[in-house]
Amino acid sequence: MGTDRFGNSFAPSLPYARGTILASTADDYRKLERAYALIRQHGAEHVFVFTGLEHALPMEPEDLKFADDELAPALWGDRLRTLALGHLGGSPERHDVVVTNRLTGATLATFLTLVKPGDTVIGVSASFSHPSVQRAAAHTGARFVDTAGLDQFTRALEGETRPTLVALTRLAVTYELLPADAVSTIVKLAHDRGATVYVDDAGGARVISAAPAWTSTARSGRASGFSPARKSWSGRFARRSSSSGSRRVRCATPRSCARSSATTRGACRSWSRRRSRWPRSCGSVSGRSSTRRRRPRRSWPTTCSRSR
Amino acid sequence: MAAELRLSLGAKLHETPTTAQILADDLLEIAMKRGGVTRPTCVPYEAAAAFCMLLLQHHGVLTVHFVGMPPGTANILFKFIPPETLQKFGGAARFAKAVDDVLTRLGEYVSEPAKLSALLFGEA
Repeated sequence: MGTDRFGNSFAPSLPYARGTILASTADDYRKLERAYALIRQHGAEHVFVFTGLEHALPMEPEDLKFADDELAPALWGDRLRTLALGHLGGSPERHDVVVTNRLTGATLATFLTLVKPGDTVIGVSASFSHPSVQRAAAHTGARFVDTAGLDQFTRALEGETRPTLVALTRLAVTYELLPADAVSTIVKLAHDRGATVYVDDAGGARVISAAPAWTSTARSGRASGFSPARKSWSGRFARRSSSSGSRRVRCATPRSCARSSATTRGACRSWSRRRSRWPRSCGSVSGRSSTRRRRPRRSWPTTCSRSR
Repeated sequence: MAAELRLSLGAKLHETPTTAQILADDLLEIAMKRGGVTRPTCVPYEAAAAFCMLLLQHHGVLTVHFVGMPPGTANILFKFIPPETLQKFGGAARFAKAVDDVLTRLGEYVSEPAKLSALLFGEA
């Protein structure tokens, strides 16, 4: 466990120390309520969103007819699947697409599906894994070993008999990036040891294309990757584009991805609320043959409900 | 924006290829210096929370600190700001001025736990 410059020990699963005022997640909620009160005082028109995240839903009136749990999947589901698999380097014969509301939900769902109590999960990033990844491991009763960079990951992997899952974060919350060659090597090393690779690309796809990094993971059939497109796909929408012009996408993704995002997001929210469709790779890894799963019956921990 | 922030923060501005940041430890040190404080009564995370609350309260700026529950980092991140949002706010220079203003205000809070608590939770 690390310490800050003032000698305070970091809190469990966090890269910073808690104090006596913000001592727990409950205090974080109280802080958030205060922020909400200030936003109400200012009024929405006078608050400047400098989060750097795209969490809005700029729907046009003509889009509303698609925001239906039954119509959206029927109209856009196939196209969503095709474009999402293309973006992530998968193939319809072996992979499927699941849309979640936010990446934290995706992370927790993945851990609940793939990880059992007592399993070992190795996290790897340029600095540290996001708290939501660490908390998902804790919630599933796994032992979590966090590593920074390829060398540290390699050493940790050598010390483990059979890690169940490797949680790889391409762009850490510190905004340091794992190099592409390190990502490929990590994936290969993990697969050689029989581990599934879960990719947390919450930040990565905003700065570099996802497809090259995921091709090897998807083709192996032992990967579950969530792109942020999670920030803009999962439960979020852009205006349906096509001939009316595409919404500006502020990330370096292939043009096909940008267009696909704008045209397929209408299906996302309905799906994420209605059901979960787990990737076929997850189904086979977990030992179950069905390619579709009901949403897990466990209740979601409230600590994760408002995370990323 | 980084260039404007660097004018007041100097070497305390931490940069990555895609972000400009104020590390939480640096933030607390800056606040202590501006407030004439030699021994803080809060941790860097609480100072960061106070900084973001003051930025919201006095300048209407909502930062990513309030998105994570808990935040993934205590550092102050400036990243992927939409140009139209920055323009609506008044530009990079104005934003840097707001940051500087809040850092000075923060100096009043880092040695008074009761005042810091009232800021963060809205208590009277």
